[in-house]
Amino acid sequence: MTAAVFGRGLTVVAAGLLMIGLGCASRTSPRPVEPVRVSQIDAAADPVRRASLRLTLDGLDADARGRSTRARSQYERAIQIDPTNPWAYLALARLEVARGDANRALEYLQQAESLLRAERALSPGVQPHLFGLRGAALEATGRDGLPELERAAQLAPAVWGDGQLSPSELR
Amino acid sequence: MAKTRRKAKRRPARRRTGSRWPRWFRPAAIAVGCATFAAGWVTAGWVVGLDQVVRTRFEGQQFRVPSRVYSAPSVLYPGLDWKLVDLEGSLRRLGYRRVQDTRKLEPGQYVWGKDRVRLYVNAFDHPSRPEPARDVVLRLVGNRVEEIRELPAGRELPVLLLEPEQIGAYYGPDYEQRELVTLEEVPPVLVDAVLAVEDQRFETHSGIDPRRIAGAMLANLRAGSVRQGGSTLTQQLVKNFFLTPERTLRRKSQEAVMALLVEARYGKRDILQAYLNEIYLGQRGATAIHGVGEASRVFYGKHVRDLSAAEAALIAAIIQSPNGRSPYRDPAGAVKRRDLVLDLMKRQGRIDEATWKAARAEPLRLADVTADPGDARYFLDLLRRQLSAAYTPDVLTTEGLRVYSTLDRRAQRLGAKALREGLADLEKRFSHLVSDDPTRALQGCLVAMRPQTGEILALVGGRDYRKSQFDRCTQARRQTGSVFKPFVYIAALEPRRGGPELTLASFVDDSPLEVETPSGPWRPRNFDRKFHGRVPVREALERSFNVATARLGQEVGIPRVVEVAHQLGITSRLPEVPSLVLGTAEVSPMEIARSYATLASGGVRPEVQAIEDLVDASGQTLERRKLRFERVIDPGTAFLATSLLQGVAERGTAAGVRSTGLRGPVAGKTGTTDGEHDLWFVGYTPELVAAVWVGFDEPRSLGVPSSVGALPIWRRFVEELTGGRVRGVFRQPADVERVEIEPSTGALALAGCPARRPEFFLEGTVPAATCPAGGGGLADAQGDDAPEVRNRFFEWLRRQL
Repeated sequence: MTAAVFGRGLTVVAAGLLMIGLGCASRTSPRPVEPVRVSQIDAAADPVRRASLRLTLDGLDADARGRSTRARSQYERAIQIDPTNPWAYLALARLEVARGDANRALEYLQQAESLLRAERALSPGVQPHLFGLRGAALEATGRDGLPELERAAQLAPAVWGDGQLSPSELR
Repeated sequence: MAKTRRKAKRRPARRRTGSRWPRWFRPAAIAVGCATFAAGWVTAGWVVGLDQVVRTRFEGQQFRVPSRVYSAPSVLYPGLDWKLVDLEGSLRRLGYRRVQDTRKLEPGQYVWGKDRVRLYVNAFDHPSRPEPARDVVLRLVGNRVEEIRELPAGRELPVLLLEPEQIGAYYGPDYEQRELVTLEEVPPVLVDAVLAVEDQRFETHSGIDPRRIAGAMLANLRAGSVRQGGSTLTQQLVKNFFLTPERTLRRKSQEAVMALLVEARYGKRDILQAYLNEIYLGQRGATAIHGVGEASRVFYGKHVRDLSAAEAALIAAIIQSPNGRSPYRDPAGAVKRRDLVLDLMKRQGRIDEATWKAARAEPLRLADVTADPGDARYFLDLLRRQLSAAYTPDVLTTEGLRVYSTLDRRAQRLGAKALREGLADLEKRFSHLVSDDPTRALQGCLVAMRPQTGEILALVGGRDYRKSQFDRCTQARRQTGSVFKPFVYIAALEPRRGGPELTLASFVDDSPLEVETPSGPWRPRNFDRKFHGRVPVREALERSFNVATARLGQEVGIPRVVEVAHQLGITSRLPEVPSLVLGTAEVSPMEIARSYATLASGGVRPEVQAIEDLVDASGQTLERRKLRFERVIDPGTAFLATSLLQGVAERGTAAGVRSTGLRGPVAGKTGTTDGEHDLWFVGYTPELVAAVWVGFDEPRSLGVPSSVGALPIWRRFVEELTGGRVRGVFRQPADVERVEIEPSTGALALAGCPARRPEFFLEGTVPAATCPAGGGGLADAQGDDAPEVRNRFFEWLRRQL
C-alpha cells in the first residue's frame, strides 16, 4: 500500500518536473509561429467587422505608401464603425511606434490586447506583434524593451528579426 | 499831349505797384489760394484717410467668418441596415437632392430606385482625409446595403463616407454666416451671371461707370422714382465693406472715391473675389447669408464649384433683393428673375444657346433646409468651453475654424427625441410633475459615448435649449444614488493583497447596520424598509439593497471605494463617509457615463473625446484627436461587474430595459436618490454607454422611481438607435472561469448536486466548498480542495503549453 502510494507520488512528481522542464525550455527558446496578418482575419459573418477590417487594410496600404495621416484617419474610421476591432488599435500602435510617440503606442497596445483577450483572439500568431511593438515602444521611452523585442524576434524571426514591423508585414 | 504823356508815365508806376487789379484782389487771391491749398490738404488727408481704411480692410482680415462645427461623417458599407440609419433622411439633411434622371447626375444628387440607389457623393475637403466626389451605386436587398460600386469602372467599395454634417457655428454679434471661396473655386458661369446683371463693364471701368450712372439716371427720370442703381460692383463692395446704407451726397462721394482707390490699389480679381464673398444673399433664421459660397451651401447643399448655370443665375438674380426674391419665399418669382438673368447672359454673349435653353428648362431644386441644430446646442456649448482654453471668443467667431466633432448626428437626434418624449410622457402620467413655470419644469439629460474610445456620440443637456442653456450632463453635479453601488462591488471583487473580498457566489449580509460617524450613528435602510438577511451578492445588487451594500463598503473600506470610483472615471471630490457607497456624493452624468464606459471596455478607461480635429481657414490642422486609454482595473473584474449589471438588467431593478423587446447584451443600473429627487439610469452595450438623469433643477421629490422615470428614456434611445437589436457580446476574458454553483450555498456544483446555475469566477477563486458537501466521487477521495487544485493545475498546464 505504502509502496503503491509512494510510486504514484513519484510519478506525479516526475510528471510535474517534466512539465516544468518543458515550460522552462519553451521559455528559453519559444517555437517560431506564423505571425498574424490583418488580411487573414475572417469576418465574413459580421458586416460591421468586415467593413472595419477593410478600412484597417486601407490604412495599412496608405501607411505603406508613407501617407501616415491618411492611414491614421482610416484606422480611426475603422474604430468608428467597430470600436471593438482590435486590429485597428494594433495598426494604430504600429503607426505610433513608427512615428515615435511611444506612450500613445503603449495605450493603443493596451486597448488592442484587451480587445483581443476579450475576443479570445490572443492567438500565438498575434503574440509576436504584441511583444515586438511593446518592446519597441518601451525602448523608445527609455525603458528596457529588449527582452520583449528578443521574444518577438524568436517567435517571428522573418517579421521581427529586424526589430520592426512594417505596415505590409501587418497587412 | 503833355497830360497824355503824364498819364502814360503813371501807368507803368501802377503796374509796378500792382495797381492794375483792384486792391482787394491780392488778399482775395491769397485767401483763395490758401483756402484751395488747405482744401487740397484736407481733401488729400480725407483721401489718404479713406485709402488707409481701404488698405486696412483689404490687406487685413477681410471677413468675419464664424467657426463651423461638423458631426462625424456617416459611413456606409455592405451589410448596413439602410432603413435603420435612415439613409434617405441623412442624404436630405446633407442637402442631397433626389432626381429622376441618372444620365446627368451631379455631385449632391441621387436617384432612388426599387433595389438600388445611384448616388453622387460630394467631395469632402479636409487637409488630412479628403474624399473625392464619387458616383456610386448602392445595391439594396431588403433593408440591407448589399454592395457599393463606384462608377463608371464598377469597382466595389468596402466603405463609403458621406461628408460630415454641419451641426452649428460660432457666430459673432452680427450673426453673419459665410463660407469663404477663392475665385478659382467659383465657376465662370457664376461670375458671368453676376457681372451680367450687376456690372457689365466691370472689366473695363475704373471703379465708377459714367455710362451706367447716366443710364440709371435716365431710367429713374423716366420712371419718376429710383428704380435703377448706377453703382458698379466695386462701389457695391465699398458700400458693404466700409459704409452705411444711407443715401447722402457725402456717403455717395465717399463711395465713389473709395471705389477709385480700391480699383487703383487692387486687381480686378481681388475685387471680384471680395465681392463674391461679401455680398448679402438673404436670411436664414437669425443668421445672415453672405457670399456665394454660403448661398450655394444653403440653397443647393453643394460647393460653389458644382453649381449649374441655372443655379448660378438664380444666385445672381437675388442679389438686388435677397429677401424679396428669396427662392424659399417666392419660388416662382425667383425662377422668373433667374430666367431674366439667363436671357441677359445670352444677350451679352456670356452663355451659348444650348446652355441657355437647358438652364431655362431646369426646375428649381433647392436643398431641404437641414434640421434645426437646436438639439446639438448643448454639445456646441461643451465644445466652445473646451476650445475657449486655447482660442479666444473673437478667434472662434471670426477666423473661420472648422471643428470636426465626434457627434453622431443620428444618435444626437434620437437622444434629444427620447429625452423630450420621455419627459413629456412622465408629465402625462404624473400630473404633479407638471410645472406652470417653464423655468421650474421637469428636466433631464442624456449623454452617450463609445466606451472603447470615449467619443461623445450624443449630448442632450436639457429639455429645451431655448428655455435653458444649462447643461445638466456636464455642468450639474447631483447625488447618484444606486448607480454608485457597482463601484463598491468592484472594490470588493478586485483581487489584491490575498484575493478578493467577494466572488459572485458570495453572500452579503443585509441585516441592520449602525455605523458611528462624527455626526452621530448612521443606520442605512432599504427602499422597501425591510432587511433581507443573508443574500447572494447578485441579488443584493440586482435588487439594489442599501444595507448589504453599506456593509460591504465597510468591509472593503471607504477609501478603497473612493479609489476605485476615481480609477473608473469619477473626477468629482468624493467625501470619505459611510453613506458614500449609497451614492450621496455629487457627480455629473458625464463622469458616471465615463466610469461605466470603463466597465464596458473591459477595464480600460477612455479619455472623453468631443473633437476629431480642428482646422483653420487655410486648411491647416491645428489640433488632432488623441485617443487616450488607461487600464485601471483588470479585465476579469470588469467582466464580473458587467455580469452583475447584466443581471440587474435581466432580473433586477432595470429589467424594464427588455419590456419592449430590446434584444442583445445590456448591462445597467438604476439610481434613485433619497426623496426621489434624482432619477438615474446608466446602461451599456458592448459598443455604447448612455447615462440618463431626470429631476428638477431645484431638487424636489419626483415621487417615481428611476425605473419609471429614467430607464424608459434610455430604452427608447437605445431601441431606436439599434433597431431593437444590440450588436456584439460581452466576452468572457480568458482569466475568468465559468463553473456551476449551487445557488443557495454558493458551493461548486458537482455531479449529484440538486440545484445549479452557472457563475463566473476570476481564475483561482472558484469556491472550495462543493455540493454535495465533501464533493463525492473524486472529491471524496482527494479532499474538498481537489476541484480547485485540479482547476489550477490544468490552467497552469494550459498556460505552459
